[in-house]
Formats: sequence, C-alpha cells, structure tokens
Amino acid sequence: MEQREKKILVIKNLLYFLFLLLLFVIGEIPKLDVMGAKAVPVIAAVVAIAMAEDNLYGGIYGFIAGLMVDTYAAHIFGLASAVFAILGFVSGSLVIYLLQDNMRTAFILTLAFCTVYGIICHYVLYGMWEVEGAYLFFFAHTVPTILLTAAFSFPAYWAVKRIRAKFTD
Amino acid sequence: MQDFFKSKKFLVVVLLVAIALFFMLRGAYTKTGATFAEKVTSLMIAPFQKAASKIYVSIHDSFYDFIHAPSISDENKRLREENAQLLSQLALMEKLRSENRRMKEFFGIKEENPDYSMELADAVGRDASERFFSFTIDKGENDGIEKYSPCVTKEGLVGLVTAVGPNYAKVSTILDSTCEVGVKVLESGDIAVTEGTAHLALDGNLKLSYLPRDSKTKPGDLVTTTGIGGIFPEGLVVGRIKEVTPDSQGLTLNAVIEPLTDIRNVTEVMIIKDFEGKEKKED
Repeated sequence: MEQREKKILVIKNLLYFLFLLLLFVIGEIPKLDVMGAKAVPVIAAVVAIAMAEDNLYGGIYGFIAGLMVDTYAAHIFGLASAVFAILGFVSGSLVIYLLQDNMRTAFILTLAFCTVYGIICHYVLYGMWEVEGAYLFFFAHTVPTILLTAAFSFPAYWAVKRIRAKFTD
Repeated sequence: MQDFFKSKKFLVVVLLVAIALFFMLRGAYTKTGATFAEKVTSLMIAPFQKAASKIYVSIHDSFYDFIHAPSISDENKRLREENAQLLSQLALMEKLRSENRRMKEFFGIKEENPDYSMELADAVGRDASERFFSFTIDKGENDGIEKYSPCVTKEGLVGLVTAVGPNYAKVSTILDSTCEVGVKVLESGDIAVTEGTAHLALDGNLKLSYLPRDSKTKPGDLVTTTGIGGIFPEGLVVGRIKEVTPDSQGLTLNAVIEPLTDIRNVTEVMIIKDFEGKEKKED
C-alpha cells in the first residue's frame, strides 16, 4: 500500500474512533435523557461504520464501542464487547449480501441491534435474578432507549458516509 | 458458505468475541475491583466524559433562565402566595424550626462526625441499561475510595460504591434491589431493613419490610441507618416514611420510604472513605 493510502487509512480510522468516542460520551452525560430513558448512540455509529465499510470494520468497531460501554455499564465487563462485535459483524454482512445501503436500512439495523442488546441486558441484569417487577423496566426504559438510539441512526449514517466519502476516491 | 466461515474477517471477529468472553470470565472470577482492561479503557475515556459533563452542565445552566422564563414567572407568583400563607402560620414555623434543628443534627455530616474521612465527587455517567439510577463518579482508587464505601449528599444516604477503578467508581443506589440497609425509624424506634423494588424505584422510593404489626411507625417519620454491620455509619438519614401498609398476610407492616435526596437526579455526592466502626468487607 502506498504511503499516502496508509496515511488516509489511519486518519479515516482515527476519525471513526473519535466519532465513536464522541457519541459514547454524549450518551453517558447524566442529565441528558428523555423522561429517564437514555440512548446508546455508539450502536448507531457501529451500524453506520459497518454499512459504510464492511463486516470486519463492523466487528472491530463493535468490539471497541462495546469496551467503552462495558467500562461504565452495570453488567459484567465484556458483555457489550461480545454482543456489539457480533452484531456489528452481522450488520456489515447483511448489507454486503442482502440489504441495500441506505438510511432506512441503517435505521432498521440500529433498531434491531439495540433491541437485541436491550433484551440481553435486561435478562442479564434483571430477568436472570428474577427481580420483582422487572417487566416494568423493560417497557418504561428499555423500549424508549431502543427508540431513542434508533433516532441517532440518521445523523450517524450521514456523518460516517461523509467521513468515508472524504477519504475515498 | 464454508469459505465465509473460513475467511479471515470471520476469524478476526471470532477472536474478538473470544477476548470479550475472556474479559467476562475474568470479571466474574475476580469480583473485586476493576480488571486491567476496564482500567485501561477508563483511563482513556474518563477525562472526555468529565469534560463533556461539565460542558453540558454549563450550557444547560446558561440557558436555563432564558428557556424557563415563563415558568419562573409563574413560580414566582405562586411562591409569593405561599409565603403569605406561611407567614400566618407562626406556630407551625416554630415546630418546623425545631424539627429542622433536629434534622441538622443528622445532616451536619462533617461537623457532627469528625471521624468521617470524606471525598467530594461528581456523577459523570449514567448507563442507559441501569434502572435503579446507579451512576459513575469521577473519583476512584487514586483518591482513596474503596469498594463498599457509603455515598451521601448533605440531604442523606444515596448508595454504596460497588466497583472501583483508578479514576472512577460505580455507585449502586439504595433504590437497587441488591442494596439492603439496616435502618431505624427514629420516632417509633423500630429496626428494619430496606430493599429496592422495580415499582418503587421508578418513583425514586424504596421499601421497608418486616415492621412489627403493632409498630407506631407513621408517615412523616424519619429513617436513619443503624450502623450495624459496619458498612454504613450510624445516623445517616435515609428518608421519610411515605406510607405504611400491612403485608399480604397481615402479620407485619411494610412501609415506603421517600429519600430526602432526589437520587434519580443526583450530580454531586460525598464518599465516606472511613469512619469509626467501619468493617472491612471481604468479597
């Protein structure tokens, strides 16, 4: 690979990483919520990167995003990394082999991604321990979280596409 | 299809998932403190998180008055009317002053408890998956904070540190179903244990179970920690009794405690690093 191409690749991936970090930090701000529900914007970023690049990028950036989420999440460290890596890879694979690369697909994939993660988290944190009334949490918090996160798919898709276009011939 | 599963991309992702599973097993095995991977990622992320939180708070405060001007005006009018009513109730104010003095005896944390070693901290993160309003603070091992340190505000008890990294710590609130606090109802003298439930946590309240059937506990009574067990110091205010109801069998009474602190929106806390009577808890 030429020196210039390498440099472009490094800068592009650095921008992807910073974008991921920015969305993660926005998602974690304590008072930034809608009636108690918070979004997980990194999921939208992972799906957008997976769609723009390929399934390997989706898996790697899913793993990195998962590490960030794991650091401050209530569940065991490593759960989000594993789930995001798998779902990022799957998102990228679906766009390569099956789905069209457009904003509607980004929205649907983000919705599905977040739903799977939300269900897994809910089970690991509350369902597994048979916490009384845990179903309330699912409808009062998990479902709004899924919808809020899906809303981030539009700006995330647009931003990642712009980054990729800037660094691709 | 087989080529897909044998491809380098697939194998790389399998490797990443295996690493993540290793982290999970390690975390489950060690239980105490943060793993190496957690410490590394927190070192990278914590400064950005703290900066973002401060930026958001300053922007929010700057625009608050401008955005809420109509409601502030309505609130001003309402407060004037309320003040006029309060002025005409001098006897009630005298009673409130006496009660306030009594509350200050419990609220004056540092003044009344010189044995406390405390650390101020800010809540810098709340995870979307957390339903009992637990949060992350910007202080950790480097600031002398240990696991199972109590977390308080000037109003009262907020929760307990359940995980510590070099520059961060996770606090589980008293609304959490896994956080049980030994408490005493001041007016009646009853001793019981609090527990969090999903229903009550949504309203920011918690439950007090197994009060005696003939208990004199009533709404408005103050609830404080007993200090038994050595996790929480004695005398920390937990909240006020909101309601008292018999249990399903009618053998005991249950009560709902309304914390004096708005735990769902707390941003500034104090961690009690050490106090007289503290017991070192092993995992």
